[in-house]
Amino acid sequence: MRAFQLRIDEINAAGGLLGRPVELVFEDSGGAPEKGTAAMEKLVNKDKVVAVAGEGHSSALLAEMEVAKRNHIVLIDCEAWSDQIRLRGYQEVFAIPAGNTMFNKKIAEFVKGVGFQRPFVIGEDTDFGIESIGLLEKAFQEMGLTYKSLVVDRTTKDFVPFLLQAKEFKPDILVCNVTGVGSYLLIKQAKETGLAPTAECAFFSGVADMGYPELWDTAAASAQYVVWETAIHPKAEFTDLTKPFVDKFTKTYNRPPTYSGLQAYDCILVLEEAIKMAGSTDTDKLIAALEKMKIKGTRGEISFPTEKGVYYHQAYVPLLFLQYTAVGQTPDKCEIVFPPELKTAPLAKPK
Amino acid sequence: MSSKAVKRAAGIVLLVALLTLPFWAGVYWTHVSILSLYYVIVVSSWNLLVGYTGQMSFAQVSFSSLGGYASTIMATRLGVHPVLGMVVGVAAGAIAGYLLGVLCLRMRGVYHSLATLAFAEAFRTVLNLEYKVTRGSLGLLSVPLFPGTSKVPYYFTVLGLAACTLFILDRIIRSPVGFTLQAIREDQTAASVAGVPLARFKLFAFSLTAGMAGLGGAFLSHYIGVVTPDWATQNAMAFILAMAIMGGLGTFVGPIVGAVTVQFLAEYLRVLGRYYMSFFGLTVLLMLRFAPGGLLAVFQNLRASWARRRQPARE
Amino acid sequence: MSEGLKLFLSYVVSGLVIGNVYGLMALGLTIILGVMKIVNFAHGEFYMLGGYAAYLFSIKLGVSPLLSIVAAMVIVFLIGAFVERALLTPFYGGKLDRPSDYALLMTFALSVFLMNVMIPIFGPYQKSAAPLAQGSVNLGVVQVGATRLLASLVAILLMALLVVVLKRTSLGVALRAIAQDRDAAAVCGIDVNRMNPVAFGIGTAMAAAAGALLAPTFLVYPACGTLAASKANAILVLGGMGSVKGAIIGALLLGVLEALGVLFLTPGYRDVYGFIVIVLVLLIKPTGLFGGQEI
Repeated sequence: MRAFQLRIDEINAAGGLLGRPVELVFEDSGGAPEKGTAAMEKLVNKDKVVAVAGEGHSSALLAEMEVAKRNHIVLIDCEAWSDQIRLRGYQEVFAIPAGNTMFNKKIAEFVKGVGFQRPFVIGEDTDFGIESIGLLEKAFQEMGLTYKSLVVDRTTKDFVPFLLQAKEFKPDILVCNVTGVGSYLLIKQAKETGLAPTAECAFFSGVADMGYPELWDTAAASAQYVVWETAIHPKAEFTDLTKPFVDKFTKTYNRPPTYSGLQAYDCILVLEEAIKMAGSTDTDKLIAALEKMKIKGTRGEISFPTEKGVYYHQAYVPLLFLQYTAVGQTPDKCEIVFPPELKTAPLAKPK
Repeated sequence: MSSKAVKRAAGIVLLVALLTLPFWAGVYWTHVSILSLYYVIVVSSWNLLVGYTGQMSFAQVSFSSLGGYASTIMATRLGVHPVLGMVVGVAAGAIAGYLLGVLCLRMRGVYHSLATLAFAEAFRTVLNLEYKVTRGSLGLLSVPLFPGTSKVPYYFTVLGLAACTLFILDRIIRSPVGFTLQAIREDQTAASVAGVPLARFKLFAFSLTAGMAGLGGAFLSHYIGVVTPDWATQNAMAFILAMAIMGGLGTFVGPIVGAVTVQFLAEYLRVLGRYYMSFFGLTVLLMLRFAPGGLLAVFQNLRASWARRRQPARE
Repeated sequence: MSEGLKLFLSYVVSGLVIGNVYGLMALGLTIILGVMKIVNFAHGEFYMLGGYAAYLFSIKLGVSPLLSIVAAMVIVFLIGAFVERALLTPFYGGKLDRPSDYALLMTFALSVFLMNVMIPIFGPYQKSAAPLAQGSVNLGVVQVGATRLLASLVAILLMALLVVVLKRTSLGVALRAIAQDRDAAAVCGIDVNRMNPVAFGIGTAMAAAAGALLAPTFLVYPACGTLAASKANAILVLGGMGSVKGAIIGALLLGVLEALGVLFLTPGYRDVYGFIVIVLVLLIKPTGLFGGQEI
């Protein structure tokens, strides 16, 4: 939301869009589908917004996109990864973040690329987590690796029974697709039960929460050696829009943005460009504009393919795998351990 | 104008307003009214079990969500028409209510309440865990009851359902059955000694209440388009409780007044943002503490003191 | 030792470590039930308040973790006593139609209020508290976090302390007398009405202690009391509504039952077993395994 506001302030400072000021109306879906639909109803029918952007939870977005379709209003997915969103092929919906297929493909490549043989996957009971497990298992099977997985309730706080089960499998890498505070607790408890990160078993977490400083508040020393993925790193600047945005965000809010901040900024850039190209806020014209555009965002060039399938209306997203090599480290000091062409250091292991 | 004529005129105005609501209230407030009517169904039926029969239950939300899930699963997995799904929702609710009733038959007071709470929480957990059937905390997308985007048919449907529910409840309460239920509330042991087959009446109350909740939930799932485990939480139960208490537990009109008041209040309170639920909770607390009879009792007290003031004291 | 047995024991031990802390909470619930004959439906929220207090003291004010726990207990004791005076007195007034329903609904409404009022005050995001220890300890069959283990030991200490207070001090004797027979206690000269807020305060202080102890492990957020409360309820029912000995044994039993469930069924259902236990016990022996009216 902060990134949204940042861009909107910039637009308004430069005179607005089509000569008119832009206003951000905010509703909280709490990641819950019926709250999300209620919020959408309010935004679309009561506040009469011109377009909607946001949402980090796939399940909520899946419900919200129905409202978008019924009311024929543009909805830009800001941080929801489910393939289902793309597969439905609604013309009103455009996706900025990576879809699960895109994302998990990279994880599988990472696992194989660094040489792990026995992955254990823990996923949360949401579209994101469950789809990930399915996609990863398929990939691992094709690679001929021995693997196992477990689904956990995303609100769990005590992961020890699951971790003990994982320990029994004797994996060499623990892949965790659990969002929110659970992601931190998993690290802490995995370390406490002696599972990972250890010399025998690495820890990978594929969620945005890994980039926040709260990681160190909660998981503390256990998070050293955790590998995670993101779309930004100072040593891998993507476009000339990246650094100005990062600097401005950091200055305004006293903390650097994570990749979801960049994604959010890109959401507004995309909408802004569409309105300019269309010369109006009419939904059909916006959709036509969005499908035609090729603009520069903060993470690379953005365009939305129209071929139906998992990449429908899906912007391409670059992905990096970073590792925390010291306690309290900030994301920009991390080492890049994958992909090989951008690597800055080999994978580090604790003693 | 005599007060009876005033009352009748007011009643007619209200009726006309209700019947034409979608045409003058706008899309958003029609939506709020539909939600209120849903709560009228769920809270009024809960009132039968708790207010009239005296059996405390924290599981009402389990039955409404069960109705929602049953109907949705029928409609999406088995391709059944939502109306038939709703029938299944009612049946599912009624059966589950019956089972809970059986479980709680021999329990009294605090144990009874604890058991219903345990049931409600276990049910919610199962909804979350059995994600292969329910899609867990993601929620299950449902099939709309009517094609198109208009809320009008939904409004009249739920209005009709609420009217039927209230009619049935009214008939029961005024009948000997209702009298017996209240006797059970007042003193179970005495009623039993007087020859009342407690089990039969309690189970009747349990399953009817749960079935009606299932009806409401099934309808709601096809209106909102999605059903989630959040429906079955105790936070949701708190709404029902608040509505019943605010209106007046154990009265017929109480739940109706409570449901509408609280739902509309909730919409206005949204502006409070983060303070919304706590303000709400505080209101319920204060209401319980200082006016346990609910708004209805407050209103009646006001009327009584007003009447006393109009009549001069007798010498 | 066979792998299966080792796994089972690892579940049992890790379950018991945490279970003790819930046992402490259940003990508080037992005292409230025994003395006041009320089931405190807001008990989980006092656990949550204890957690927030621990956060405030240990993180915001930099007080030592152990002292923070004590501070949490004191503060919540006072809050509990206040709540009792403000909200629960009608229960004894004799003017209510259905006093037990009143207490139920009131504590339920209180729980909703407390849970939601934390959101604007502290924000919906989870907070932590300073841990009692770092690292992990190897217990043979399983490795557990040192924080948890220490929390467990402190809980055992507090439970023992409470038992001593109940058996040896005049306060404790008064409480037990009221639990046994309120009117007789009044006749004996005990000021029953003044004991109510004390009993409620002690009970909630125990919940707060549990919350403060587990704050570093499971974090603190507005809804964190719900799960804890359900475990405490399960222990209460298992061990006997209103029996101190029962609460302690109930905690151990719950730990073992959950471990068995996890081993033979799935780990995901672990928290449901508590509910199943409640329902089964209530069906078979509604007053719990050691049930009775004394504490």
